[in-house]
Amino acid sequence: MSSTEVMSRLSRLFQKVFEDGSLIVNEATTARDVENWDSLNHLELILSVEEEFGIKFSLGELQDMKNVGMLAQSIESKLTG
Amino acid sequence: MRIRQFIKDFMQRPGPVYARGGGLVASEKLQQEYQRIRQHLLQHSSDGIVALCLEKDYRYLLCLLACMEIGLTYIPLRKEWPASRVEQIRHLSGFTMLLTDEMIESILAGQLELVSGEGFAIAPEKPLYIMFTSGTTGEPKGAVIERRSYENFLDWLAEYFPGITAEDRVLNSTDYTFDVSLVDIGLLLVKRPHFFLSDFRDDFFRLLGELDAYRISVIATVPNNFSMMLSDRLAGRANLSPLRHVLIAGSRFPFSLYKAFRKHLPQAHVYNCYGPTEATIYCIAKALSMDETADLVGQNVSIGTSIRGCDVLLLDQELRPVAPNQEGEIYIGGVQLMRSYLNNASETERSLCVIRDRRYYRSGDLAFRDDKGELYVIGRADDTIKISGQRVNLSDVEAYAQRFDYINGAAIVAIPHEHKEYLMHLFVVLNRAREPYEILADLKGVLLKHQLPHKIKVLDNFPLNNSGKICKKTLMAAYCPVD
Repeated sequence: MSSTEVMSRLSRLFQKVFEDGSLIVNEATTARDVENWDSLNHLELILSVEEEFGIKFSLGELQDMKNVGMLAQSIESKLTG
Repeated sequence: MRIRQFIKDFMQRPGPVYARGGGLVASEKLQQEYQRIRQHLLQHSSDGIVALCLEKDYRYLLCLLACMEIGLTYIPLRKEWPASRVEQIRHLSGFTMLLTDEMIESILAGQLELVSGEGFAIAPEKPLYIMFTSGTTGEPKGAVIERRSYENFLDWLAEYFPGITAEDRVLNSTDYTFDVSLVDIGLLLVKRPHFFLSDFRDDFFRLLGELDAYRISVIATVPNNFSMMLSDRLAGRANLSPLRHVLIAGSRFPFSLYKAFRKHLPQAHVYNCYGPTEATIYCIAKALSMDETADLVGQNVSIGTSIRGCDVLLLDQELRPVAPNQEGEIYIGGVQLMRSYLNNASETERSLCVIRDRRYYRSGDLAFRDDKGELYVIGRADDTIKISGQRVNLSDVEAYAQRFDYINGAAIVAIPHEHKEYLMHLFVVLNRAREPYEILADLKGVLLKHQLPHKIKVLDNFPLNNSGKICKKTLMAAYCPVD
């Protein structure tokens, strides 16, 4: 799966989880940039990503993620690894 | 004097303290930094108030301990709070020193003046700390807690938890602006366990990661955190087998959580504790046996009986004791009762009352007592809700919103929600155009995170009831679909 496709699917997931069809995310996006990115939406987002891509993150991997770009990279490496 | 002695003993031979991120802070470093902070604070007037506004890490802890030891009253603040909230607290309290990370850096670098000394003369009635909590009119209230109140609490911690020892590993997960954090600090002082500063920041994965990586055996937190961590979607992600003591307080203990503890953490001793900030952390507690006949009435989980030094009454609206199994409001008296709300006579008078020559705090929590004398919380007598254990008064949030000149009227309704505890919907009528996201951005400037509405809806007019008040039932029926 290409990086573009990962980001595109991620964007759709963000729109669904945050209930905002106009939400656009990029690699630099962080929790501070998205309204309502609270603990429960964060949980929902990660679980949705895991389901969407058929992967599972370790707790350590999740703690290291600082922005959407790192999330996308982690997804790609799991899909290719 | 015992708080002073506990802290002196601890700093002479510190137990293991781990900074945020998990690194052990060397004893010598702890002692040196503590002494410098302490010596700086000694220059302060003994009747002054110190506000602490630092990143939550071991230095914040050292500042708290130094204030407690030398006898300076402190107010815990949170760095992420809006500046307007800090200003409100400054105005209400007149705090005379604001300690920040930058100041601590200067103190430790030797750039600020230091003095030595034994500490100030302290009476048991001297305020130890002032904890600000949700008000009702757009101003927070500062509960003044005396030294003797926390000393009673420390004594209770020492005797109620004989199974917690210096071998245990405590995670300090709550913020210092939330009084549950004083459970962890109390355990640090009376049990000297391994003490880990958490980097939780409301991220359940992070909390799970810390519990697992640090092999935590003791945690005091709110029900919602465990409701999430033990939900079927997250359970099994972390090794929680070292957890031996889980102290739950801050909101009602859901029956679903009771079942989850039995299923996922059968090895843990679980305690259902109760206490408003005004009664110094916990004043009622129950060590759950995990036997339904001993812990439950229907799906209500027992909070047990009052702890040492606390006096709990269950009264009707005429202040008469209610019979067993009848609903009443919880009133709390005894040594852990706050002195007052700081500089707020009207709120103090509204919240405290005298019954048979003793002062009691009217909690607003409705409960019943079973035939064994154990208490069960079943609801609230006012429009206050709890989110992550923190009180949110709906009138308070409305009052903040109505301060914006473009808002003609505001009404907030809170709908119970399985995962979020409550969904808060704010309805506003405006006198000039403003988008909901802009209103939210404005509210972020004055409200704390847990007070922010989840949804904002702009209306042309409010539906009114027969007496001309906003009809919240109509708002809920029209705009708040049940998930």
